[in-house]
Amino acid sequence: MKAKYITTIFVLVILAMLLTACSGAIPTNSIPGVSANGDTAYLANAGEVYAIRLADGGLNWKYPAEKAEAGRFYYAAPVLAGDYLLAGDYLNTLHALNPSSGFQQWNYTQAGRFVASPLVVNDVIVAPNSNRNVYGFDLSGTLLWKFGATDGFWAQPVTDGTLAFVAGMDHYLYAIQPANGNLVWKMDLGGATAYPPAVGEDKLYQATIASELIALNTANGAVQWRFKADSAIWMQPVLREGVLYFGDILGNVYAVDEATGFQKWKLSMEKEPLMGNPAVLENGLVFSSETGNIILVDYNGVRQWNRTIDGKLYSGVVLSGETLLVGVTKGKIALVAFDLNGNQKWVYPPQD
Amino acid sequence: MWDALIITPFINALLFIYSLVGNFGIAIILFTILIRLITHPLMASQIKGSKAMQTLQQDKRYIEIQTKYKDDKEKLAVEQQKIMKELGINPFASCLPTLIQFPIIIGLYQAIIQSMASTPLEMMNLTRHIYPGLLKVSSLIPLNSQFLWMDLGQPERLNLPGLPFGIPILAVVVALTTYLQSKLMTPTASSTNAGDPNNQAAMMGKMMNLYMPFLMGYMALTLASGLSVYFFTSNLIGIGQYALLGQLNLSNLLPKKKTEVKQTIDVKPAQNKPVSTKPKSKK
Repeated sequence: MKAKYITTIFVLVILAMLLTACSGAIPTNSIPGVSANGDTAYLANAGEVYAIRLADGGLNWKYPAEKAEAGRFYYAAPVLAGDYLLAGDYLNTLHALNPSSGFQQWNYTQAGRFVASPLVVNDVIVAPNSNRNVYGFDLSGTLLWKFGATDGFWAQPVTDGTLAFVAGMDHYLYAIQPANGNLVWKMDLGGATAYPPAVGEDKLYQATIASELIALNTANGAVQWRFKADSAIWMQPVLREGVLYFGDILGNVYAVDEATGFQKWKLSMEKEPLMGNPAVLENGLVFSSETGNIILVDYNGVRQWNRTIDGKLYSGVVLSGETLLVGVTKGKIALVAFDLNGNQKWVYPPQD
Repeated sequence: MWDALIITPFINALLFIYSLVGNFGIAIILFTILIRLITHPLMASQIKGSKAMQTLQQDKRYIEIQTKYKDDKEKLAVEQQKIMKELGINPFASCLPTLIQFPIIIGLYQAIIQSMASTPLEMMNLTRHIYPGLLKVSSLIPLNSQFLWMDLGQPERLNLPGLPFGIPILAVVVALTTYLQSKLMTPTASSTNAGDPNNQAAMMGKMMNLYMPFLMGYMALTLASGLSVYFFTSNLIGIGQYALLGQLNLSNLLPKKKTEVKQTIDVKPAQNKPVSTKPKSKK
């Protein structure tokens, strides 16, 4: 009988081992990543990365070309790095693809989840990861350095041309030397953030989910001023002609003076939770709301037009030439293109 | 409605415990204990009800009417009700507490899942559940998801030096404790007529006992390890609760004799308390 119990335990252990091999990661609930370059839009959504023609919404290629791998999810917006298109996944891998064909050129598999997109600074790929590290690669995928923090990174880095600035979920904004990953300074923001700061002439403007917009000195990270919003800010602020624009999760849009941090105006749009970066047009900013609305707000704080999409919108709005791209969550479609007047051009996947 | 009444209060309770202890793994354990303590009277009542039903199934008259009215379901129901009334058995005494407990346990499970936000969207949804008067988002987020060797938001693996793969310790432990729990909580074959091939409920129970450990082990293997911590804690508390109520069936863990004895007992009417099913003597 003793042997029976030992056998049972042994079978359980072996079964667990076998299941390890065929099981993927946990199902993920995340936001499509959208970017564009030239005449192509790139979409990372669930198990695949797509290259879609901006002109007509037709598919150029998808990666992987065959069936999506179980448990491998792509949500970080793909970015161009030299001759490569970089796409990080939730199964610990950074993929470098040929932007024309979608064939993989190299990959790095030793990280954690890539929630954030990487950024290329002076030929170095700066890739934040949710495993508490920021990785530095050369353009051929060789690991140059690794920078460790106390929590994960969900925000894409930004640069002033010299340093890479990476906001962490651990409440800190880090300034890193892209060549070697050395820390130049770090500053406690008092709240976590999943979006990068806006870069000004000598200041950075970082929004947090602790409902604050904070201006920091680019050289040393010293806080210049703080602005308190009504609720959490889930986007990168837009800096335009000395004014910062951003929205919060309660549906308020703010215009704040860049120099002083004083509010210039506020537009309240009830029941329009705003998440994701807005697109900057000549006549205003296009925000996307969780409710499925995309909304043009002019630079005087007046709502100009509104378009509704069937689905939830968290990815923000990406501008490419004369096209506005909107990633859709929980809808039949994954990507919608509008012209600058809000007229729908195409959707992907095409609908009957 | 479900969110406002169950999920949001549960998430806030869980995060409040987390804000006190500063460790999400311990917060999950304490929260599970707390919820199981609150629902303990319901569980006790459920056990009492099931015990009474088991006793009823062994009653001579009950067995007789099963055969006598096997082709007349209506008459059978009437007779069954008559015996239950005589014995003071409430047919809802076991299922009603289960029904009440069910949403609570589902709520507990969902609160844990939603608190382990590992993507921006999940985090945004989590922050919306937080009562600003009770908890401060800025200091609470992100949650420290590190517990022992585990990242509670990810499936658990113990990586040992020299081994090319991680060992899913928690999945094995969850499977074992689920097996242990099902064995210890299952009444003996004699008390449920499990040996009777026509006793479908007992057969179903047997199958469940066989498959549940594998199912729970698989879930622990693939889902976030915070849930595995919950499964494990819940299994141990379940065993503890049965022990506290004197209902642990240790004999199920011991080797059984091959002889099968079908027993019936005479139950005295008008008894409100559950009747012991212990056989007086072996036939």
